[in-house]
Amino acid sequence: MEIIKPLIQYLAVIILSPLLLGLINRVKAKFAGRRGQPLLQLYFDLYKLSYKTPVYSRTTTWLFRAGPVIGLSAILCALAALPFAGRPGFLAFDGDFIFLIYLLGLGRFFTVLAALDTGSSFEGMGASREVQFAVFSEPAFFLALAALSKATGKLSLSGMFLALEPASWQAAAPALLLLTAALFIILLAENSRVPVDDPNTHLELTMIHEVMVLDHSGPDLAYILYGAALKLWFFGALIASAVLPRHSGSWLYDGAAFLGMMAVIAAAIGTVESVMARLRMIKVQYLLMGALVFSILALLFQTGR
Amino acid sequence: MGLYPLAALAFGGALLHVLNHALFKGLLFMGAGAVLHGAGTAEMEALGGLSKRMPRAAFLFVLGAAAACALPPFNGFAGEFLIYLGAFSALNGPANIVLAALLALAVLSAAGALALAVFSKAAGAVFLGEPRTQAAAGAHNCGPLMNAGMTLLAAACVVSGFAAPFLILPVSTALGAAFGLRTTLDFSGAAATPLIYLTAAFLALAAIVWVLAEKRRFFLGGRQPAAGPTWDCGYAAPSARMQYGASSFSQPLTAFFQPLLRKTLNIPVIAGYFPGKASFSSEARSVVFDHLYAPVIVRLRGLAFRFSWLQHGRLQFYILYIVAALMALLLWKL
Repeated sequence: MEIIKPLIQYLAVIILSPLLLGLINRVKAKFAGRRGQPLLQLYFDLYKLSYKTPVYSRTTTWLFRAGPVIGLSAILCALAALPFAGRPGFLAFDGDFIFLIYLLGLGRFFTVLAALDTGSSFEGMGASREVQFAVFSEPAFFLALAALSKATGKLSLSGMFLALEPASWQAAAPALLLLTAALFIILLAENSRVPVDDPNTHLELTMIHEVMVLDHSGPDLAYILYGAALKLWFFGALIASAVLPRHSGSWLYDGAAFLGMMAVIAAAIGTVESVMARLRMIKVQYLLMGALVFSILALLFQTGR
Repeated sequence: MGLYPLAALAFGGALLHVLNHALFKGLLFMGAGAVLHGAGTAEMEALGGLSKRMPRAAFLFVLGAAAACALPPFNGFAGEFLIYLGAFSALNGPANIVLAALLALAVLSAAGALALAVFSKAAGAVFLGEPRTQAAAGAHNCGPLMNAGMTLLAAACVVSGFAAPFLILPVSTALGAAFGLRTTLDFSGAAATPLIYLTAAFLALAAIVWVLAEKRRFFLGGRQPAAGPTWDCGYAAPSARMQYGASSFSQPLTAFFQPLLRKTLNIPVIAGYFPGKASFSSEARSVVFDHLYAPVIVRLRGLAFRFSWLQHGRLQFYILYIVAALMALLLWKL
């Protein structure tokens, strides 16, 4: 039984991820007084897109076709190393989070190249913004994990979250609060949510991630949408693991609490999107620098103790 | 001295990176040479669309760029990984070490993200999109020997990426020669397990890519994808000049680093209802080059010229210099 638990956890992640976006949309609809789209809308979209015939621009080359495949592979591989409810994934080793961050980089690199492959000025614009914001969000992410590593004394993601206990929150509440805040800002930026990007926008000039995938269609677009849902789960799971440190020992209980926390995070994202306008594009870097400062402060608090 | 193994880890990582750097940097320079040969220019703003005209070189350049950005599963990753691991391990040391580690982590991660921006710009502007000039449109493929050289290095980048654990041996031999057995043991002990896991993770990644590519083929079901123009937002006459160029791609970042780059813009003044032709240009100067390298080099050159009378081309005097130097060393050591 112990051996197949990581497998069940992994299956739960890859099956449930698209539901997060359904939850976010439902929360946003409630705020706006609408009924909203079905909770399972993304599943229907993925099914529909998978069997559509794609259209490729005559400008594109093999990179345009490889981009979605490599992007989705990178995040699927990253999820294998992600702890679930305080339990290690398949791949847990010292420094695994360095590998995870660079896997996200691999996905970004090929998404950006696929966007540039179309020769579209809009997609070039989105690609340019994507690599720009990564320059600020990646150090913030690294230092947030450094603070977590310092607080727990562990070097693997699973080790850190396993060592995190309710007592750690009592002992190092300011540092953990700051790094959770930093992780939430990074989640919003990396998953192109408000206030960094607006997933509902229809104006190419103002988009970041959505504009990079304008030309993708059919199974390629399905891969991209699914990859985005998995990436949202990835960042959400980091926050859920950080704020939910109690490990009761019961796998089912822990798992249920973890999934409940993921729903709360989805609701939080939906609430942020409903009550906030997006930032002006030139202000986004300052928001990300805020996350970087939170991470550095968390690390310094831990060092000072 | 609990910090000794960390230093060994980071230094070994740096050596490993030097080894791998030689492979992918060589590949990238050869790629630049192939572009210069094929299109007659290496000016990024004048290129574009070369992926269609020299597909092999484009593929190999993208691979080299991914390795240079230290992206898994290529060879640039292992060295940077060990340096990061050393810095993260140092976080549990005393406060001054933690500050050094914090600085190293911030700089390394920002440099990693900047490298990604730079190499996606280079690969994108040169090889992707539509050709921006006639020279790029008429570019020809490079010969088989040129391709062979790049293929060899690219293969080495992939193989040494997956075979990182085997590179511990040469690196720790070098460490042993320089710092002694203890450093060697510290390094190989700390690096071996993570690197073996990394190779396993790389294999898993490769397997996932293969499965998803097969799955995509299954979804397509043998249907022929339709061909069309790039989505142009309803504009009827897009041209290659409307693409994002290399400098427009990096504009947000160069604007942010303006204090260091001192970019000068030449912006035309538009006046009247029917303005004539206007041109815009921008030039980035490097503060470090202008205010650090250049003055130092100028001083050094001035100093060197003062001693130029020593170099007169008479061989017998040169031999005399050698003899004098040897005698001086001998006397000093006596």
